[in-house]
Order: sequence, then C-alpha cells, then structure tokens
Amino acid sequence: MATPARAVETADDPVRRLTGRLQGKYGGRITGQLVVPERPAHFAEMPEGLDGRLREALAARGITQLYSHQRHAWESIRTGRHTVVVTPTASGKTLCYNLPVLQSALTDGGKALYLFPTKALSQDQVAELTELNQAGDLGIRAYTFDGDTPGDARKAVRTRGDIVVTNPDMLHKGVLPHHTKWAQFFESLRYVVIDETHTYRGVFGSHMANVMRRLHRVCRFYGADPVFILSSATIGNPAELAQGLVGDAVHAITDSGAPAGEKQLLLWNPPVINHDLGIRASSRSQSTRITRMAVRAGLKSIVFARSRLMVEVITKYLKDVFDSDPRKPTRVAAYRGGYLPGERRDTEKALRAGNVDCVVATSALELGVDIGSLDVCVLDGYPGTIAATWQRLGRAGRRERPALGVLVASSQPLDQYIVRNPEFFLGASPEHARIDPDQLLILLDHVRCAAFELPFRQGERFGGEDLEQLLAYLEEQGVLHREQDTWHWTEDSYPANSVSLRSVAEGNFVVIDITDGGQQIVAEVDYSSAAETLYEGAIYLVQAAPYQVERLDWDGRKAWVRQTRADYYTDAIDYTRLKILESFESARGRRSESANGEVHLVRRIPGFKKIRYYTHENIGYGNINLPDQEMHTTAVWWEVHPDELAHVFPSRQEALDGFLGAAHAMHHVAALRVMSEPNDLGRAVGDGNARWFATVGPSGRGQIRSFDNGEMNPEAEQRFRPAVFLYDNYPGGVGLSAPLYDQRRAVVTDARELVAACGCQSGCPGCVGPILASDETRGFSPKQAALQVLGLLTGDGP
Amino acid sequence: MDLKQRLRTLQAETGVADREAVAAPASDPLATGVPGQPSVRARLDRLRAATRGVDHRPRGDGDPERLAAALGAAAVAPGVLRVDTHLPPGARHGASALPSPDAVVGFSGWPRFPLRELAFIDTETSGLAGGTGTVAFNIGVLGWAEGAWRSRQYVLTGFGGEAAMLAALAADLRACSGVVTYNGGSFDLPLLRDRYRLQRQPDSALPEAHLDLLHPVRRLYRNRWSDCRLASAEAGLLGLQRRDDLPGAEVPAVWFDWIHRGRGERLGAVLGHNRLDILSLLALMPALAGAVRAPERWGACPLGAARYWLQQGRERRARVLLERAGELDVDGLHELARLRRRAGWGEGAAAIWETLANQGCPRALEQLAKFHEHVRRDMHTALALADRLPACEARERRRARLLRRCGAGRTLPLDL
Repeated sequence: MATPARAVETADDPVRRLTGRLQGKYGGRITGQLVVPERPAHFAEMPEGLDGRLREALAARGITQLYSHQRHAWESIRTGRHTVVVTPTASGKTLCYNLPVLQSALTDGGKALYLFPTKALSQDQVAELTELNQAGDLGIRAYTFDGDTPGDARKAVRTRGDIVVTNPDMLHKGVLPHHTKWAQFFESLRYVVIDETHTYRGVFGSHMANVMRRLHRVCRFYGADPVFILSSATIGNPAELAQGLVGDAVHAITDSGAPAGEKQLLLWNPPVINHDLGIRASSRSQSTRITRMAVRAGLKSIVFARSRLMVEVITKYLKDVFDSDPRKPTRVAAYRGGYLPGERRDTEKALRAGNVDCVVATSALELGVDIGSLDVCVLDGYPGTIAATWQRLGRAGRRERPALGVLVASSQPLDQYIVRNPEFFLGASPEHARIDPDQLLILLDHVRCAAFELPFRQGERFGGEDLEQLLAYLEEQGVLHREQDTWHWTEDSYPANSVSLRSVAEGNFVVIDITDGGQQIVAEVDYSSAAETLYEGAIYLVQAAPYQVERLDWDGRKAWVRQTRADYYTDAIDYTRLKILESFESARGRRSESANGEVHLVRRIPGFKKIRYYTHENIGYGNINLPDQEMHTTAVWWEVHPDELAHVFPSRQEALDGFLGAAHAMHHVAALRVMSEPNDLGRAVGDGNARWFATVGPSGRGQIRSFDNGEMNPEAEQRFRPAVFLYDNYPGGVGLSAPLYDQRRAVVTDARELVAACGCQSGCPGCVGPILASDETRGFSPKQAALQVLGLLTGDGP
Repeated sequence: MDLKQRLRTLQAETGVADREAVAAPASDPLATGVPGQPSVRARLDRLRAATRGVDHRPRGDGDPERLAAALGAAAVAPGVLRVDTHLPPGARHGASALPSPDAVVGFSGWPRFPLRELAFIDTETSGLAGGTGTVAFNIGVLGWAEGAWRSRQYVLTGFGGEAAMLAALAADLRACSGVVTYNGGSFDLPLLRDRYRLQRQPDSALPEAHLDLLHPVRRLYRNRWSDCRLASAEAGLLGLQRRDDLPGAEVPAVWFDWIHRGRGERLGAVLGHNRLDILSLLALMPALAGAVRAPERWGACPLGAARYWLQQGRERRARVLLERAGELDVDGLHELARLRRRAGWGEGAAAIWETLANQGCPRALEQLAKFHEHVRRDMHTALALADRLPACEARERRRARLLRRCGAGRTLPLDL
C-alpha cells in the first residue's frame, strides 16, 4: 500500500537531516513517502529576432540564455497562438510573457493588458517590469490601473501606457464600461496576459470567462484581435481551463526547463489516542511539533492551515514557543486574508529578507506573492485538492537544495482517505479546474454588462445559451429595448457596479478595534464569512491576539471589537434547512431514490461554542441573533423509501443517526469525486419539504428541529423521510450538482468503503463524524447505522 | 450534464428526461419536474425571486410624426427630430436680456471671441451614471444664425437616429470657435466624445476651446449660495425662476416612457427644460463677466473675483477690488493684507492684522509677529504676540529666536 519509506541518506544537508530524524522518531506516523528527484536546467538560446535593446536589458540583469520552456513560449506566442504556460513556482514564468510583450512594444508599438487576480500581485509585477525597463533604458511605460490609481493619472494610463496592469474586477467595472476612453489602447492591443490562471475556477472563473467574452466584443469593435498568454500552476486541465476562459483554442506548454532541487514529501497520520472512540491526536499538534523541529534546526518553514481560525491557533502555539520574549524580534508570523494590505506587505518583506523563521498562512500565500524560498512546508490538513497541495508544497524548495514537505492529515474523512491510501494521492494527477461560464445568473449578469458596453445585434453570440431568450428576458424587464435587429441599454444605471466577480453579496465587513477608546480598523471580513466569524461574543483573532466582538452592525457592515485575554476561541453552530423546488431528473432504485434539482436553502447561525485552547473542551455556549441567509441553488439528494427504512431500523432515532453519519462520509468523498473545494459543496440532512432538518445535538445524538418549533420528536412525525442533500454552495449553482448526480452511485459506494474500511469501532471523525462516549450506551453503533443507510442507498441492502 | 443540457431538458416536451424515473404524486418532492416547459425566463424569475419582476406597464411604439407635430419639430432623419426657435438679442430671459452677438465677454484663459462665434451646449441623457450605455437623447445647441439667437434642439425618437444626429451636430459646430457649457467638462463633452467614438465618427467636430461656466460660478458663489446648480445661478444672476420645471433626475424616465411605451407627453417638458438651460448659458456670460468686475453688485464673493484677477496676473486690479469691497470675511481680509504688503504698504497690512488679531485670529497674530520682528524690528511686541499664539513647535522656535533677539536673560512676563 504505502510507498516503502526509503531511508534518506543523512548527509550534511539540514533538510535531509530533519527528514531522517522524523523518519527515525515517528516512522509509524508516516504512511507514505515520495521523492521528487532533482531536476537539472534545460537552456535554450535567445531568439534570433529579439530586439537588441531588450537583449541588453536582459544581459544587464544577468540573463543571457532562456530556459527551454521560455523559448517554446516565445515561438508559440510569436506565431500568434494563444498560449498557456504551466510551470512550477520560481521557474521564470513572467519572462514567458514579458519577452513577446516588450518586443512588440519596442518594435511596433503594440500594447498589452496584464490581469492578476489581486492588486498585490499587480504591484509586484510592475516593480519587476520597471527594473527591466531601467536596466535597458527601454522607455516602456508600464502602469497599474486599479482602485488606487489617482483620478488625474488615469488619463495618462489610458493613453500612454504600453503595458497596463490591472485585475479582473477593475477591467469589469472600470475599463470595459468606459471602453471609448480606452479607444487608443484597444486599437493597439496585441497581448492579453492572464497570470495565476488556476485561480479562475468555480464562481470566480465563471465570471472571468464572461469578462473575457466582453473583452473580446470590445476588442472586435476596435478591430483588435489580441493573443492571450496565460500562466498557470499545475492543474489537471490547464489547456481546457485556458480555453474556457479565452473561448478559443489555447496551446499548452507544460515542460519546465527550470532547475529544481530534490523534494521529499511525507504523508503523516497523527497517532490514535483513544482507541475506543477512534480519536487521533489533532493535526495541529503534529504540525506544530514538526514545525518546531524544523525551526530549531534553523530551517525556514511555512505552515499552511485550512482556515483563518486555524492559522491563528497554530500561530499562537508557535509564538508561545518562539516569541515568548517580547524584547526579541518576532520569529513567527501569520499571513491570511482579512489582514490589512500594509500588514501583509510587511510580512512578505520580512519573509523575503529572511527576518522571519516561520510563517503560518492560509491559501492567500498560495498565489505568486514573492516571499523568497523556504526549506520546509507543513500542510495542516489536506488542502482539499491535489493541485492546491502541490501549489502549497511548491513554496518550499530552492534551486540547488533539497526541500521537505509534510502533509499532516486531520481527522476529516477526506484526509484520512488520503493518508490511508497514499497511492491515491501520490499516483493521481492534479484535479481539473472547472468553470461554468453559462451558469444562468452569471451569464445574465454579464449579458447586462455587455449590452451596456455595446448594443447587441441579432445573430451575435455570447456564451452557450440562447442569447435572444436572455435578451428578451431583459427586454421584458425594461432593461433593454429592441429596435430592429439591435438591443439597446435602457436603464438609468451602471450594471457592472451591481455585479461582484468574487462573491454572492456585496460588501466587506470592517473590524474596528475600540480597545484604546479610538476606532482603528484591524481587519476586513468578506460578507460570506461574516455571519460565522463576527457575531457578538465571537473571539476574533488577529496575529493570534484575541479580540472579542462587542457589537455587530449587520447593515452597516461593521464590527466593533476589544482586545481580550480569553483562553478560548469560538466556533459557530450552523443550521441549514432545505426545500426541494423542482427535480430535473431522478433515478429510482429498489429501495432508494436519488435526484438532482433545484432547492431553496435557509441558513441560520443560532449560537456558538466556546472551545478552550490546548484541551479543546467545550466550555460554554452563546446565542447569536443574525438574519437568516437564503439562497436558491442546485442539489443532489438521496432518499430511502419509508417502508424500507422502517423495515431495517428499529427506531427512527437510529435511522436518523445513520443518515447523519452517512451524509458526513458522502460529503467528503463527493468533494473528491467532483474535484471541488470542500466548501463549494454544502451538506444537509432533512425533510425535502423543509418541515424539519437534522443536526447533531450537544449530546452527540441526531435530533430533528425546525426553525419555529425547535427540537421535535422524530417518532411523532407523520411523515419521516430523511434525505441526504449535497448542494452547490452558490446561488443558482455553479454546475457541481449535475456531475455529482452522474456519479451518484460512486459517491455512495465510496462512502460505504470509507466507513467500512475505517479501523474504528463504532464511528470516528474519520468516517461518520465525531461520536461521544455516551454513544456507547445508546445501544447501537452509529457506524453500523450509517453503513445500513449507505447499503440501502446503494440498493443492495446491508 | 451541463447547464445547457439541463435547460434543454427543462424545455423538452415531456418535462421528464430520465427513463428510470417513475411517476410520483405531485406532492412528493421526488416528483420529476413540473409538467410544462419552464423557459429561461421562468427559471430566472425563480432564481431572482428577491429582485424586481417584470415591468407590466403596457408596451407600445409611439408615432414619431405625431410626436413631431406635438413638439413643433421637423424630422431631419429617421429617428431624429429637430426643434429650432429664434430669439432676437434683447429678448427677455428671466429679469435679464439676451446679449448682443457682437459682445465680447472675457474670462480667464478664454480667447476673446465675440458671442456670435460660440455654441452653447447642453445634453439630456438616458442616465446619470455615465459609461458607454448612456445616450444623449436630446442635445440643445444655441448659436447665432440667420440674424437671431437660434436654439436648435435634437431629439432621438429611436436609437437608430443617433448617427445622423451626431453628424448634424458636427455640421452645426463646424463654423464655431468655442463651446460653452455648464459642467460640460466632466459630463456633457466626454459623453459626446464617447458617442462619436461609438458611432465611429470623428469627435473633432467639438471645438478645442471650451468654457465651463460651472467653474467661475463656483469661484464666485461657493460661499454665497447653498449650491452651484444652474438653477441657482439663474435665480441669483438672471432673476429666472423656473416654474413646473422637470427635475433632472426624472429626465431618463421620460425618454424611456417614449422608447418602451410610446408615451411622449412629457418630452415637451424635457425640451423646455433644455432650452432654458442653453438660453441661461448665453445670458450668464455677461452676468458672470460683470460679477468678476463688480462682485458686490452681483452678490458674488469679492475674494473669488480677486482670485480671478490674480490668476490673470492683474494684482493691482485684485487689490483695488478688495479695497472697495464693503465687507470681507477673514480669508478676504487676509488676502487684502497680503496684497497690501506686496504692494509695499506694510502699515496698511498691519492694520488689518491688528483688527483680526484682536478677534483672536492666530494667523493674524503670526503675521503681525513677523511684521514686528522683520519690518518694525520691535522684538518685544513681536514676542508678546508670539506668546499669544497657540502652542506648537513653530511657536516655540519663534519665541526662542525672539527671546534671543530681545537680549539674553530678559524675558517678558507671560501675561503681557
């Protein structure tokens, strides 16, 4: 099963020495190992036709030859093919696009548009271009254009910029709706560069593909036909994703010519500490232990945690060890979304300069933010996808030196599946990034924006839907007016302002510290996670310092916090009620049915738990009073015929526990099956008529509740037909349900295998979810109940 | 199955796609789809339940010919109506009169064109947010033609007329030397340029020389009126009170009423509003030129007028204007003091600072301290004045220096 753990020669190298020590001391926890051998550099000559000034500028920066992939990119791009370059971190991908762009700007006045997913990355990029520009005195004007660009500078950017660096949001709101002001720029636009292409997946990617459709329309208006140059981290389908975004064939370059040092990867399963309950030590305890060893060995380390909360918790644990003396400079830093840009820039700078020994981060550092190279990368929990795992591991590794990555499994089923089946992870290719540019609501939003930019003509195409039906719909709403063969915008509004590319609802929350009587903004929280992090009473952590939320102004999008010394953190309780609106398709088995359709979902966060540090015991509850969040989306659901249910289970309570356990396992294997981020998929157990929903109560047993009546008695219900729902966690859905429905059997069988193969006795967090000791007294095994439900769902019975 | 296929399934005749499916009672959540053919619209309506629904007001196309008759307009091209109105010089406009075409009205940085060479432009648009989705459906251009002031107004009865309207406007503007607008610098002219670009016509028809009257109005009346809208300028300078005027915010809806429902009743009000706008632009020229010369007669801020002359490099004129002003605010007094001092009349400046200093103005105290220190060389008075300044670093430096210059060890009581 596991790749045999090869003894690594413990040479003088400190990374190899650490690997050897981990293997010697904790061999039993290492379930798999992979060595990615050192890769030598492959060079190629500078292209013949390269402009002399550019050649000199590169030479001045010490570049006299290219890596092979840079040369291949040049050839492909110069023949006018849309090209995607897929290469690992630090392989010189920026030169792949800068070279043809600068050449064109120098020789024929061609302009280029650079798109980066975030503002911070744009700034890095302009700095790099400026250096090259100065080195060769090229006279190329590269400007950023974003929300921070002052009003009086904007005209210069529009009319004089050779390279304009911006982000998709700005293109969507600030450039395309004002394209006439950019006429000169569009007329000479030769190249569009999309960096970090792999980040444009899911909702964001679907929006991005539509923004590109709008860009194409505007370019056509000005007679421009730019070549798209994309760069991406390793994913399963870079060419397909690029094609989806560009809407045209894209040539992929996947072989990197850049050198890389040897890389060790260990899969790590925390030891079981309670055999009865199947409970393992927490992943964070293991991650901190490994990181402590690395930092003590003098190795620069990075820890990736899966949530902002976990970043703060691990930072605290490490700071307790390394930063206990306030007079000494900090050795441990946290880095995550929600910090203010200035603070993040400072951390990046400290990392580049080597002033910090260890950084604890969320996926925010997965992107190409320049932080220099590190030696050790610890992943606290499986990041959810193979692609994201490799992207994070890519943070460790210098050119000529070995690097170490450790993937520490949490007790989540998916993590357990990965570490117990190492060949799955080690042998699998990275996932496919999916986008659904024709998602009806997203498409409609961009049809509106596009109609504002240029009137639609009959016969024009925009996306895969019947455009005329969409235009007719907008005409009915009075948004558009059809005159002969043209649809014109007829609304006194600016549609791009009401369309956010990244989230469902508008408006970040600001977190204001009032500790010293002042009002200081310490963080920003996006709308979607505000309800579960900023409720009154919540402990909100910034750089591991706890703040307590005193007041939340939901409409004003503000939370006032005060520093506190609490020895606990808080975790929100989440109730979700679903109602089936319509089923698109369904399949009936012998004992069960499965369907795919549209649902209405109401989410309520009624309270929170207080959890003490280190012991993780639950030390109290608090109430939350926030508005319910509603959404229409698509879902897949599985039900068992009530007769079968009554036949197999002696009590409804037992059936309910079985459903909750089955749902837990199904959710995780489904995320793996559709290759989504686990958070893109929601899970619920409940009645399809929204009469009640099921949840695990404080006692650890399943209970059924309604929003109005609180807890209900399952035996007293006339109708008892529980269903497992897995839903697309986005209004309107982003196309996860349909592929999931197609794999409805595999989801159930995978889940059944996961639960059956689990070494625990009656259930554990690695299969059916955590169970409490008192469950031993309930007279049946929750694991067995879950297996029975899964058996009924597969149709073969237990 | 992707969304497209799903929609097809929805639209399919049967409504049930999966042959595995077994008919179930309608109340059953497993029932496979509502019978019928849910359209894109039906699904969108449900997904967007929270947003507003369909506009149910009756649709219809209006008759452009009848509209033309009602407005007294001529059809100049398909989709474009034109209304010309001629007014002689001297015609009443509020309490003022339209000026002579040969008058030359000077403004800072503005060539001395006779009024007959200018075009006064105002647009009414389909939206106030800007961007390429905003159309100027009514353009008013006032100029001297055929021996009279001619207000020429174009109205679009359909989007298809825009190209012809812009071409006609370009022809109208060909002979003129400059354009005058109100807030046209940031709204009307960029918008027109955008429209020319979108219609692929050269925007060179719009003259380079542009005078935006909002700027002098702001300079002269910012501190005098509650706002600087054109209506305020009309009321304050032209004695014009608009009656039953259409509020600007309702303008887009009036045009959409015509476009969507063929109802053009209120377009006449838009034209009336637009015509008053361009006539006011013309009438404001001499009024504003008068206001910079004799601000108090026109209720303008003398300091604003003085700054206008300063910008022209005419310092003496600016000072005389402030000397003659009946009442000046603190900023005005400071500016007058500054100009007196620059003109070599230090004592005159000091007199103003004394007055202000007695009212507790720190800026005047500081100036006076400087004056006593550097001009009168009276260190003790300067120090006493510096002592009264609010505490700050500059004050401490000044005091230290003055103490030194007063002679070591000799300090004055602080309560002087």
